[in-house]
Amino acid sequence: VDQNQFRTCEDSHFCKRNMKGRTEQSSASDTTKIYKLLENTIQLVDGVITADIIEDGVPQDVLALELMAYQDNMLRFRIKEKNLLQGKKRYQVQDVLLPTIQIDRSIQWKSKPQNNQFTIEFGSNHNLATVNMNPFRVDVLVNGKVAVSANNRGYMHFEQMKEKPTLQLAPPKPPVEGEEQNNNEQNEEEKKFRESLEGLWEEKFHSHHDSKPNGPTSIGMDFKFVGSQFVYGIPEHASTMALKNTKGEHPYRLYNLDVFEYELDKTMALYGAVPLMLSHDTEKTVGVFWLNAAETYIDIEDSKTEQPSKDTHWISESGIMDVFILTGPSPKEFFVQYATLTGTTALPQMFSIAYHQSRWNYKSEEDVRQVDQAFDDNSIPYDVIWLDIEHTDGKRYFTWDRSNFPTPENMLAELDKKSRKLVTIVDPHIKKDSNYYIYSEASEKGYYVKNKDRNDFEGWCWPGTSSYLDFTNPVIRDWWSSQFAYDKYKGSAKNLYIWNDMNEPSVFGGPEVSMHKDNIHYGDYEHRDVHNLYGYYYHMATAQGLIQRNPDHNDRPFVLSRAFFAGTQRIGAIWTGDNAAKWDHLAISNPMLLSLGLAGITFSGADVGGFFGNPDAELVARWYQAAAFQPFFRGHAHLDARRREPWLFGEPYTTVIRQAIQARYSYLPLWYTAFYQNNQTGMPVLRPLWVEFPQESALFAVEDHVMVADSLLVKPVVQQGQTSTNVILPGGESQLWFEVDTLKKFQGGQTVEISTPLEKIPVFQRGGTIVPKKERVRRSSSQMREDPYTLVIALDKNQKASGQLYIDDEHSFNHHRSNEYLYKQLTFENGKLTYKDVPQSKGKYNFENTVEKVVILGLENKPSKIETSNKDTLSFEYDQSTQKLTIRKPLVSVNSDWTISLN
Amino acid sequence: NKYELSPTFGVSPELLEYYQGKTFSCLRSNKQIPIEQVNDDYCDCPDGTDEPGTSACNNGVFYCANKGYKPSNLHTSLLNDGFCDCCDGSDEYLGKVTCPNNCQDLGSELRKKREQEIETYTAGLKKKSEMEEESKSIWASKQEELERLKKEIDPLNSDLKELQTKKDNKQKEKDAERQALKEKRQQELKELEEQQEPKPLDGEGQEINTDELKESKEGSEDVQPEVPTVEEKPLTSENLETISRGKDQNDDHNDDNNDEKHGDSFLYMLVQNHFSTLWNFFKQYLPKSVYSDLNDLESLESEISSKKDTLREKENAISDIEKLFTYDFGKNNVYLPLHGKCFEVKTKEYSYSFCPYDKAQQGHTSLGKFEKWEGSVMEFANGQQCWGGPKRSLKVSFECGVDNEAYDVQEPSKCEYSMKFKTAAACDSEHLKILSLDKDHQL
Repeated sequence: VDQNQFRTCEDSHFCKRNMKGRTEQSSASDTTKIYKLLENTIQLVDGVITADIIEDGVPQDVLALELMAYQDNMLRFRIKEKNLLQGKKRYQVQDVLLPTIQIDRSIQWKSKPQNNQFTIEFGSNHNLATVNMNPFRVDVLVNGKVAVSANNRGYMHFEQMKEKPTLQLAPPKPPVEGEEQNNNEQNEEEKKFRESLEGLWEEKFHSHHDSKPNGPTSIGMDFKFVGSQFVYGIPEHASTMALKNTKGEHPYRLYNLDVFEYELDKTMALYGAVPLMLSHDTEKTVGVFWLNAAETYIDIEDSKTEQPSKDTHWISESGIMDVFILTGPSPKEFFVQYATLTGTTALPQMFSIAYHQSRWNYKSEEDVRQVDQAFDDNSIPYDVIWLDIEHTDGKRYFTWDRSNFPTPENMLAELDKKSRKLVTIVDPHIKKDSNYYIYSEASEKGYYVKNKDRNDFEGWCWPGTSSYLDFTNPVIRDWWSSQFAYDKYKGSAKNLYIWNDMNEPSVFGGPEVSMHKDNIHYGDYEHRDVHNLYGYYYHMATAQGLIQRNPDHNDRPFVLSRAFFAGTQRIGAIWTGDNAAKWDHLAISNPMLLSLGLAGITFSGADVGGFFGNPDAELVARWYQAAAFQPFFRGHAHLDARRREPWLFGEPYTTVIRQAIQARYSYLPLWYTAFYQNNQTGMPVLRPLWVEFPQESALFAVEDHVMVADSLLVKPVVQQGQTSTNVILPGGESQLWFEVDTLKKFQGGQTVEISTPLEKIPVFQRGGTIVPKKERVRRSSSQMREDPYTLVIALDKNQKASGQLYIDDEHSFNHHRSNEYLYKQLTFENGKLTYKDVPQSKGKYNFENTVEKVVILGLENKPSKIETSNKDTLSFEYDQSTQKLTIRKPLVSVNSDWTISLN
Repeated sequence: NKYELSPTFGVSPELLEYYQGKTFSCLRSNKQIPIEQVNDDYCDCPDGTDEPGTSACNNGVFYCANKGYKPSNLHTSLLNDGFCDCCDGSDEYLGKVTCPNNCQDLGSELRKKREQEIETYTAGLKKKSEMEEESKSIWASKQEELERLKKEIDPLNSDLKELQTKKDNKQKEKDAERQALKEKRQQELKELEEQQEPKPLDGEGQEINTDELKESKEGSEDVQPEVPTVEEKPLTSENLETISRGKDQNDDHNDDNNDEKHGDSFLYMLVQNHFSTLWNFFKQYLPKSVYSDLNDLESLESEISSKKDTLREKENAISDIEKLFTYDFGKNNVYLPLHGKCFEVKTKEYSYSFCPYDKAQQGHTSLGKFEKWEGSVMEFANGQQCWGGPKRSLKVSFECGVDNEAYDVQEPSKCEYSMKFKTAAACDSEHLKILSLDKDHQL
């Protein structure tokens, strides 16, 4: 990557202004602004506390504070100008918070304003928040102790919108003798004046000029996470899961960008942004959600005071200050809180969590047919084949290069026969070509983002000169959605889904390969205000289009996006963009995906094999193994990369890759259940170990192990030639673990060395869990729908286990619309397996399917007889050496409640 | 058993006997089960052999009889998956999808295709044996040529040796003569010095100036100017050799454009031209004796040079043949007649050519030189570097055909090309037997 092409805090005037005086050397007194809350303005009306804030010494610039509690134990405060100048606007992020969020009106005074502070109590956990008035500070207490402290260090900074200053030249002195001198003075003054505007009222970056018509508008605030040494979140960065201290380095940056050949271990911005940070220690999981879509920097350091704490400093270029403090205190509650705000992952169709085969580019219908056939010939399952930009007629999206794709309808029909899907790419740049119907129609309607002079903005991207639709406008989103109608998108069909790329937006030759910040959007907001939302809105409009194209609006959309924002989980999947075919890129895929999952973006993956370059056979094989246990699973490659379909590497690699993909398919019922659970509770599908074992501080930075749901622990091999690996088995001695391929039993609380020949994926099922599987792996996931289930029960020390199974039609919204689903609780205790509805499940779904096999691991005693609640006696096998019981053909229905008893 | 399948359902005829008893022994694993558990939609055998007719085992095999067409062995995961895999439809017996039985049509199509193939193979094999004959004679003539060349080399070498000796002697003679001349001249100079002022003409290392030479000629017939530069850097056979070799190489390896070599030889050409001009100029002023001596030497040298050329030609021819003999031309060297030939495919955009055992091109762009055989695929590698990609390469798949024909060029990955090539040389008589057998079995 050419790092010079991208800004750092040093290159951004607003960031530098906020950072000024924040270095160790400088004394705070001469640079820090002190903000104070005016006691006589404090009101608590209808559950909302309002007050005025002024900067010390600047009484005329009044800020308005709103402080309120939200359901599920969250606190929010908003700060903006009390009286905005005529004609000015400060952007408040729209369409990200769920419309269902509710102010918790039960907020009450714990102590009324006096002695420079007041305290409120809120939420079901009776959390307290103490507000210090002068200087302004908010301390949020969890379990009676301060957990998050806002403006603890007094880094608050709020640049109120002003009129642009004009040069007031002193009246010309009487012309005595030095007329020239006078002129010089005037010139000097003018030069100084111009310089004073630099960075405030205009800014340059390389050859790009930013006209900054609103002048300085930045906001900044610090947050201390008290008692915590670990902070996470704020994706997307190609960096560690546990965030690093950045003091003296480049702060983490959130600004959606198309970064060519990104490097690892950097705080540089990447394709997406979620301004959510969480911190965790043995007592609590808490977080800060900074709802702002402008360019944002986050500086992190260890506190120099008291107990180990993290000091974080947040800086955004524009927008209001809008902060949610999530109080946890358990990881589970934390995820519920964040889900309450921004929603959970839309339940994916089953096919979309199966394996995807992509490359830039499958060249023709014949190429697609051959690849499809080769998967069958090699007995490797896959569900979706992808077409990149070359499939279009000159990068005019919604069209086909008819010389290579003359009959897309036939191609789609052929794929459909095997229940397979096609994904085509549709990017947001619209080729400037009056003969292209999308361009001309949008042009006529005036749907493009405008430049600072209010003409249609033109940039450069794949098709050449292009314009960019203004997706922040709901009318334009609707129009875009309508373009996916089958009669508009010619050659599309129901089994065609969409990929949205380049939606940061990527503008070749633009500042930082993106759009000018002074471009103008809907509502007269500047691009700088909405930048990080652009891709989100685009993704949203595309997904809506896929819903609308079917008359019954009853097919769940699948749209993969590269750019994202908080809330993207409600729309669809994302991937980590253009990674490289290198071992370290494989290794970083898990930390990156874990970070995304912690910030709500659960349905995510990394290009298998690495986008740029040519992976060798070992790297490809290991990558498949790792990705088989990551949420979004797609092989993809650059145009210049060699072909790398799974069978091209020869044996033993083809077999190893086949086994990895088959493993994914066999665990699809677990994945699907986990996605449903995320949909209900916000719990990430892919979890760091600490989420499951929040008390074990040794796990807090572990990022090379992952948990799939609460039951599978995976430590993929991500190093070349690695013949063995150390696996951490958490949970202490009382926690059992079962290696899934050898069925070997391990005690927790230890690190075990596992031999890792090429075919080995270290996977352990947690004792005490029940994992639903389908062991009949077919060509595609849809073909497995009616196949019977296998239940794998890994017992804990008390010979108990539990788990859930979620079933629906795997593709429609009927689970939501008419509760057509089954959500079943599986419990094994006292030698009895019970299958019944999860309490409060409203699901009713008539689905003829059965359990064909029950495997119980760690069963200490061989049963003499096994029978079902229907009094059917079941045959079984018991292996004393592995303590494995296999119950043969119970054929109990997934539809009804039942038990299986071991006697 | 909801399917109510017979234990033999999906079993291929040659395995039927194992599915007849009261118990079934898994075919490739050590386990016995009651026959009722065969095809009961539950996988008992780790090897999957107890469920040939259901999808219960991940490694089961289902036999489609496909009457009228050829039977096939299917992965049992394809059973009842809603996609017709067997032409008789027997894999979709649960009726998720209605499969037409199109075995008869496929069969007759296949029979037609087989007949055509048999025709092609028959004609191809005939042609192939012609090629084998041709190969034999090419091989023999190459061998003969090799022997002949080898024989011719010895006399050439001894001739050269003789000439070299002659030349050396002559050189010595001449050197002595020149020494004598020099001494004589020095003597004369000394005498002159004694008589008059020394002339500036004669300093060692002094630049030769034609005007001065002219002057000197006009001045005195007696004063013989030296030709030092010519003498010291004569156009020796070695120099000529370097020049001509450089040139040859450039002719042989147009691709390996080596600027340095070019430069060298170009410089030599210049120098050579310069010298010959000077030499011709000087010659007329030289005394007969020196001239004829030099003349003799020159002719000797040119004789040596031409002998060397001949020798080199022959050595090259030998190494070419020896290299040829290292190639894998297949059984009976059947591919030998393709050596030295090139085949072309024209697409809308480009014209592709490949010359077996030599090189491949897209227009003037190299797609590589012959690298190796990989099964029936001839690989060309290390072609012109691709921008943002690898060095270009081509894989040519050889197929049986009557006439040599290249077709179907593809670029599956960037700058990695593939091509198909029909030739009688690739026709396999074993395959013809299989084809004929298939045909006799009436499918």
